Amino acid sequence: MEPLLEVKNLKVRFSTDEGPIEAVRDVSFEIKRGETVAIVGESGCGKSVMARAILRIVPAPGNIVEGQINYYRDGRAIELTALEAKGAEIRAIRGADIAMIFQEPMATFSPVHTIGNQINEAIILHQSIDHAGATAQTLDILNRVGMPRPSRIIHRYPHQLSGGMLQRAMIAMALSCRPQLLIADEPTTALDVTTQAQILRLLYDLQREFNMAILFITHDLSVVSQFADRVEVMYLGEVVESTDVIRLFEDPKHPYTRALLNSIPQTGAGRGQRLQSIAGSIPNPLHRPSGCLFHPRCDSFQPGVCDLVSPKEIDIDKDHRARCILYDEQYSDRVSSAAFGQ
Amino acid sequence: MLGFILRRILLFIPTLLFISILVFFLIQLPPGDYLDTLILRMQESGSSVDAETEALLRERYALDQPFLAQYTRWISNIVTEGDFGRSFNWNRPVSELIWSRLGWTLAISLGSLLFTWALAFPIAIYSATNQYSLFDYFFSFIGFIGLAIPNFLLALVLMWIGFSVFGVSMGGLFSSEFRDAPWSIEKFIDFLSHLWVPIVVLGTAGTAGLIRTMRANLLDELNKPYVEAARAKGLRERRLIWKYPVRVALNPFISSLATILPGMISGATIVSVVLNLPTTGPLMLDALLQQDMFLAGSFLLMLSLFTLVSTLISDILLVLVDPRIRLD
Repeated sequence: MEPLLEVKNLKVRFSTDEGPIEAVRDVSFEIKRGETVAIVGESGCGKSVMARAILRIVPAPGNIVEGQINYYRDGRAIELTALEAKGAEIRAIRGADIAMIFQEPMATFSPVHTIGNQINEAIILHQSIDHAGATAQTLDILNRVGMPRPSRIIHRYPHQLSGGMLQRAMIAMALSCRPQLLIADEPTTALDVTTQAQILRLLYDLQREFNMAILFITHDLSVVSQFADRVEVMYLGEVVESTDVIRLFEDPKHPYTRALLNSIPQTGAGRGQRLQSIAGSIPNPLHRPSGCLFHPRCDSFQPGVCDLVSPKEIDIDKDHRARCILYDEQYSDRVSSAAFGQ
Repeated sequence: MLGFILRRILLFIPTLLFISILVFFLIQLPPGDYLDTLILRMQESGSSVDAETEALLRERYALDQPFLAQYTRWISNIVTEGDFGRSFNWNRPVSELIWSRLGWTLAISLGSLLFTWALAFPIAIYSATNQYSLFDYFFSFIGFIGLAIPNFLLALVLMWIGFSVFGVSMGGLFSSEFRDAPWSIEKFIDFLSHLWVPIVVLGTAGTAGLIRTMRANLLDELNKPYVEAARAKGLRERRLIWKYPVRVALNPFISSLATILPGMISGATIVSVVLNLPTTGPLMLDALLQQDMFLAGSFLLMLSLFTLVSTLISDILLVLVDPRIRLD
């Protein structure tokens, strides 16, 4: 299938007073039409910055310093990274071709404008349509996201709605121009568990209905297992493993992915068993470890290799890559067999 | 909404009554009264007043009566006839003195308010959206200087420059030849050529302060998720900044309106004295110094009324612009 979006060797750097921080480095992946790609990682791994880079809304002082993002429309590639970040071309893509929903629905609507006003605005911006037509579309899309009584909701202000309703409204706003790609940045994190499930179900149904691709950014592996086709696991700005969702859960390769999976609480686990966690904590991005970024926390750490060599992305199988020297033939003689035992 | 406004206006009555008692009491609190000041001044200039005349005068001004009787007479005259009493010092009805002064004061204050806003908002928005840029630093520097210079000093400097460089006197609102002339186009032009001085002097500190607050308010709002969401919609940067964060950052100013109106009357006294402006400030200061009690009392009463009215106005505006605020 043809790609909808491809990210090649992307690097995003934040120039801070304390020094440069590479929030995203050498990230490459692809999203095909209609597919769901999840970016998984702990807070601070660069997944949200990654998402914003696609829309070219990386907040200052962040900048895309290397790499390419291509968006395919009607068989033609548009190089998003070559566009002016505040220019008309990228603005025509934002909200129309690629839309985004955010983590905190309560804060993503302006508190002093009505819901209807804010959804209408998106519609009028990208379509040649009058106000009445836009309102009709707003009501229609609010209906589709399962909003009760849309004709009343459009006159409401954000503080008058619940978090779940606001996230539905946010989804409605994002889908109002029928985007090809929806970027969902932790859309359920701020919601309670039952609402989370409803919103995920809704996204799943709407994806079928609208035939759009979703880039799902989350730290929640259970959401990934229900929802994603492909998964990119990120650690400190790098993709450490890239695979489809089945192989991620059944045959994880990178020690970080394995550690992440091990730290999910198991319902079948015996009483009194401690919840596994990954040793250590995420390093300060200003002081990255040498060699493999994960080596200080890794239980397959190979002294003399991992702390010196920056691992390359290795193709393990078709569409399955891991950034780890365990799979690099170049170092196979220096890796103890115990490292693979898990 | 209408019920709320009516309730608030009804509340004005007891509040004003209470304030008027307090005001009248405070004015009488210093030892002596206007007559003592008058007699003292006459004695200084050589003439003397015998006890009989003094008693006569005291009776005429009703200064010999007890506090409550004096107060009741004053307030009932205001309520029933709109008569604020006579100014001892000017020997004219208070109402004759204060209305024209209030008019000039409002004109100058509104002018400087508009000057402040017209200058401060664009600069603040520029500074916030281009934080730490060259112009941001430049405006911050100018702003702090503006804040640090006392207004009266700025007035003096401007007057000195006007006099020594351009050879014109910048005080007052009119040149001497127009002062008592009837209104004409020439007089109006003359008025405008004088008006800018107090407006600039009074507006400078306000502008500097407003830039600082607006910049800080806006910086708080610029990183809010709703701004990012608007950007992700594809809105033009300038349009989204004016529609969303600027709009939200304005709310604190609407609540600050409550202090602006009374400040218009009481504020800027020193500048008005320096610039020789026919505004309320100097007159009120004089009235208080000389214990010209009906004049001072009326001013203070006016101030209270303005405070109440402007608080009400800013409350109504806040309800109108911020849907999160509810009346009940």
